[in-house]
Amino acid sequence: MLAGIPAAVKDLFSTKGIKTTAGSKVLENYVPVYDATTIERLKNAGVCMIGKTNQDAWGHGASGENSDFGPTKNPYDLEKVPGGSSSGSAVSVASGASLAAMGTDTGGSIRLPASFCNVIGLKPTYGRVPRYGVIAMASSLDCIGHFTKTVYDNALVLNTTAGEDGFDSTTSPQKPGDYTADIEKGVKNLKIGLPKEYFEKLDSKIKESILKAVKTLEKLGAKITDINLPHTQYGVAAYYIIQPSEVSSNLARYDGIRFGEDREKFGSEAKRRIILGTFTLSSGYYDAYYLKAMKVRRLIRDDFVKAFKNVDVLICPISPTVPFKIGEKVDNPLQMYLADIFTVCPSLAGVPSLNVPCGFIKGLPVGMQIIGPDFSEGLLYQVGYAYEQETKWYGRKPEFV
Amino acid sequence: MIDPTILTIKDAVELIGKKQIKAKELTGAFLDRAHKVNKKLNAYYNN
Repeated sequence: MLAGIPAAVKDLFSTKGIKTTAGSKVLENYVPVYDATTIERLKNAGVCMIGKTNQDAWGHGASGENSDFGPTKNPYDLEKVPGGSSSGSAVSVASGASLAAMGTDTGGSIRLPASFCNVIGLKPTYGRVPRYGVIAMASSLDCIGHFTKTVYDNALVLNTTAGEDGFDSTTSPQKPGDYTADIEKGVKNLKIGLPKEYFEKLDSKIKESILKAVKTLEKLGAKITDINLPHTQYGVAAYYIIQPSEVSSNLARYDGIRFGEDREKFGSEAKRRIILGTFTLSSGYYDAYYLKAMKVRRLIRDDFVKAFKNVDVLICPISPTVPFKIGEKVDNPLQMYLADIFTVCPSLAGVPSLNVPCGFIKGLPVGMQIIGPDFSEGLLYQVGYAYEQETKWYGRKPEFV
Repeated sequence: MIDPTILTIKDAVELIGKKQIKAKELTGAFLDRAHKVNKKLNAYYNN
């Protein structure tokens, strides 16, 4: 189905015989001896891999600035960030330099750059697409997903990559099906929930763009209702304990013996997460931090499970801001972590979430997040497609290109 | 001839199927675009 389609690949995916750096100088000369399962599936489908894309080192970043090989720039404004960590992948699609791009999303790393670059980005359900051969960031959160110009195209790529993998025991045995099958069904009588907590202190212009998109869906027949996800406020705190804990464990293998160069080549963000994670997992602190955060994670997942008993999907913002200036937040890690405020809860819950562009503010793209229950990717595409047919924001190309 | 870089995957698959464009031409067009824009965007690695 995808024979001859040119695609780009985030440099976190192992590619046989081709350098794979994870955006870090620690792996500057690392050449894998095998392909990640996703790459193998795409190659088998006839996809032409045209290049490896830049990213925040190890996936640590929300802006695309934390690469050891220089920052990626937003094609809609070269002075602004493209979002991260899958920065190069989002930019390659947005700038017409690939038809599809592979990314990873741990706490927003597909959805955020997709939103900043006016492209479609899916974080599937945890376990929907195999992680085998993808350099691990936080193993209980990492998801493999895709960037494309349109919703239909995204479904076509997921048709190729989704499904159980004998090399990844966390993949689901549930058969994926054809994600394009119901894409044109529309949204008539679908129940869409707006989680109040995501709109409370939101920038008024972003709120306006998203509510306008919701209005469009309402006109198409969807039923809109307010809903509560009461543990949302604890999402960032829980995420920034669980994620660095898993990062510290995963990065331990890059010791300069088994893999990689001297550990001194780790950047400051990786070091920060190793230190934080080692602390929260250490004896005497594990119960107070990691265990407590995992209990909060369960409460956040329960919020979503409860919500999906009343509505089919949720719609909310992806980012609290539009793309910001390069350099604006690099010296303030806390500000950078807060860029993930709307994306970490679906990650902690493991549910799928789709970025669909919903307008521009002063020439900069805005995206909305459509969240559904486990394995509802087909439904997310259905809602996204219905909206996209009315608006076609993908037609607005960057002037630079 | 249409600029292949403005196509969607759905369009491109259809055109390849009808033999109105070759996979080689399609890939070539995207590689050219990538070379042109990458100096400013730094989206791709050159190694």
